[in-house]
Amino acid sequence: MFCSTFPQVQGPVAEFHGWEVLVYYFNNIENYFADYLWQVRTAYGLIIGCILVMMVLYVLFFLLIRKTTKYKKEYKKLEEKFRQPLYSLMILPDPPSALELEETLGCKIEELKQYDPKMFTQMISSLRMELCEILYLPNIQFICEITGVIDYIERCLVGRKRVFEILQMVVNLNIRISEGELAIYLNHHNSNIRLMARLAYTICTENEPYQYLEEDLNQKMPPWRPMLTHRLFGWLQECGRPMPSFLTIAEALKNDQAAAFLIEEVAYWGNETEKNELSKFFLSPRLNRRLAAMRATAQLARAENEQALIESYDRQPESIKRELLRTVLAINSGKQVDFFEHVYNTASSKETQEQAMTCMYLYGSEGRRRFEIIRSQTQIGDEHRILLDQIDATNLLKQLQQFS
Amino acid sequence: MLNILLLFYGYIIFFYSLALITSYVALLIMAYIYSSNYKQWSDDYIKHMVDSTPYVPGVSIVAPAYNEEVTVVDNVRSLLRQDYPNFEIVIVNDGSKDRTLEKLIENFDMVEVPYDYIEHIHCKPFKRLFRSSSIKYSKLVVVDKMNGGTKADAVNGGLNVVSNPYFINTDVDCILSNDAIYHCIFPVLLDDSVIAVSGTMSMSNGATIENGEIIELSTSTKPIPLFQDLEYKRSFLIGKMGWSCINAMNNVSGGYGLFNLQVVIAAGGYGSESFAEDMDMLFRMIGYCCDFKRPYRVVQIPHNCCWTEGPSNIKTLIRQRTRWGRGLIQLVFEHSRMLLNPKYKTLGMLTFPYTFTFEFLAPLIEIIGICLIIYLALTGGVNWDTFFVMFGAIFLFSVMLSSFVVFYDYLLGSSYHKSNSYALLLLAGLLEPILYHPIIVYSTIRGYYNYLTRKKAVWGDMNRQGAKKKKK
Repeated sequence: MFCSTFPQVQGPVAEFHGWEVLVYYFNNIENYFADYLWQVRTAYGLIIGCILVMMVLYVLFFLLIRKTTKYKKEYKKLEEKFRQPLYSLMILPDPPSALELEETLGCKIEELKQYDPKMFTQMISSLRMELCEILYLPNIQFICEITGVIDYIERCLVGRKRVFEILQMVVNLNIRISEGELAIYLNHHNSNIRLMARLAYTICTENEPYQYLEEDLNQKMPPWRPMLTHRLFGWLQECGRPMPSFLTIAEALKNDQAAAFLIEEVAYWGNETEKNELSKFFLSPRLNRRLAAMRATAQLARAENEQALIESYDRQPESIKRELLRTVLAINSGKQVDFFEHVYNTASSKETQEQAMTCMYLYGSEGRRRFEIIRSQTQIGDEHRILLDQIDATNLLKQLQQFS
Repeated sequence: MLNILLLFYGYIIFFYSLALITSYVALLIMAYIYSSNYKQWSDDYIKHMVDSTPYVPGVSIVAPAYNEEVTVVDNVRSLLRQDYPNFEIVIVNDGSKDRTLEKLIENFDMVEVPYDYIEHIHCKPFKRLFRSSSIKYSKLVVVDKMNGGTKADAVNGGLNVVSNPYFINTDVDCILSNDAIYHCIFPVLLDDSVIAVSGTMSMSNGATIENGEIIELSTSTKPIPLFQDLEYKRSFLIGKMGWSCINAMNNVSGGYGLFNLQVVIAAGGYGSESFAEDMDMLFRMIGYCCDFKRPYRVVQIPHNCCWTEGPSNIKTLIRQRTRWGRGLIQLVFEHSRMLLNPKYKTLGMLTFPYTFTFEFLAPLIEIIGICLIIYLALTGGVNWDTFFVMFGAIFLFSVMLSSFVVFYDYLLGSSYHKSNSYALLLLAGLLEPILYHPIIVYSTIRGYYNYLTRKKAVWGDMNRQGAKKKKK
């Protein structure tokens, strides 16, 4: 039971209970400002509002600083103790024995569970970053199990906490978790969560890893998706998992960009049959696919495809002609100096001419000899001469940089 | 006339102030939502993805340099430290009268190379191109051109030479974090309709720098840079972040921003005559996208990527802000076709009207209001109780906003190594409305006056003092 604490007055005494106290004070405040203009009341309201908000804000700020400082201190201690041992375990080619493990870590395996798994997650993720050139780390799964990271990840997914962050962790670390925990996210309404869950599924499942590949590739293809998928294919191949049929899926896709991506992936992870079939895309009705096939051919430097490339030259638009020239250079059969000269003499675009002469310059001694002949036939100060001098100087400089 | 003014300031301006306060609250909330969503992406994940695939887009950093011999070598070294797999640096020597070019040649083994220069965007004549003969500096290109009088002209000269589809426009005196390109390119990787990305900038006036790298970061203890630091943080962490949430940004700072080269060239490049060339460029890019029905997004990222030395004294500050004021009024006149034009979507229907009402008109309203208050005070027409209540409300709101800025900065990763930096910023928040804001209002009005009277404009020197002395 509350009693009013306002100055005592003569007359009957009022008593208030619970909610009525707040109403009483609210009415007091309202009456206090009742005679003021509404502009002044608004200003007072703003003042009170700002004071209340700032009080809450400073309390939150203080708590945040305290929490962050405490976390950083503990993380630093953990890092000093376990970072180097975990790094050395991660780079081992084979799983260590229990004794080796305990010797390296400097403690029993059971003792690791007493530490915060969130900190281990952060540490292992940063170690993975340092080793990003190595596609497959065979011990990372094992390390995540003994440090409690796998349990932590599965608990977060079941509890729907920090789902997107956790799924990124699974894909970043390429670790296997229980497929059941991913099930509710595989068809999530949020496209980023859905994609990340499906990538994680590809890593975790033994069943059908490419179940969602075609459906996902038919969606809009922002640049990060091919990057992510490329990395995942690399990891799958290192693990010895079978690759999808890139060209079969590419031909079935409506999304042109995605199809082009798969065609280009043949150069990295495709089988011999698929590599041989790249030339059929040089005159594809879709320009993206032509470009992708040429880039893949350049990556593979397949001389068998050179003739098909040369024959398709006249039927290509300018931007694809330049890619074609780069592909011929990459193949480097030594037989196409005349072709480069023909392109230089007949191209309607200066950029294509520049590309042709750059390719000729880099095409071995015969190409270089022909380049010098063409250059000597131009007048000093002529725009063609400047272009040729530029190509010569740029490439000489690159050679000089190699020796510096 | 007096009664009209009194009525105007008594009612219309009261609603104007309420609208401004409401807009700031909305921007606060949107900024929080946007940065929370953005921070879900793990930094490790982004870096890992970019490092391990061949599909990474190339980025060129274009930095004009005019009479920068004091700091150019250190700053170029800082740019070269970028940890990104595919980038180049294009320094544009814009007709420097000092030894800027010589310093670059000596320190980076630069040699002149023939170059078939093609002018995609108009600028003052190109003279020479330099590349390095050392593999350590193979990513560095120096363009020597005639002075065009403005930064915009110098940037255009650099854009005619870049070889990547995206470029970062920065000042050569800016210090970039090593992962600046990663953070800026990420929104483009998420959505290829992004045409410009703005990175968060802070002042380097209080930082300790060694070999072009920030060793310790803290706010300056001098008042002018300190106020600017708070102002920049408020602008980036609340204003721009809030607008970015609804794809309504109207400016990507010329100190640091990533742009789609093809869209910039299609929009005609930077305006050499403009004094707010960054805002003008973005308006034209968005105008181009809307005119040709091309989807676009302009985003602000919450990462602090860039530190710049701001004016450290009142004279230089006034000169800078006068130029900005001139640029603002110039922009309003030159792009008036976009104002309240539904063809230009959020820019035309929301951000530009907002800029016009609350940024362009605000100094004029303030200066008239101050004159009115002075007149009424002298004639006994002011109700001082009401005056102080109103003033207190606005002042407290401003302090609250500054508190949120400091809070957001800490929440997003705490720029500063020293905790007293936050205390200084909060103190600046208390003093800014009284000490700093009037300088800005005066400078902006001066800029308007210079524009309307067609006074000849000179960019002037920054009088760099450098950050704190290097550690021994």
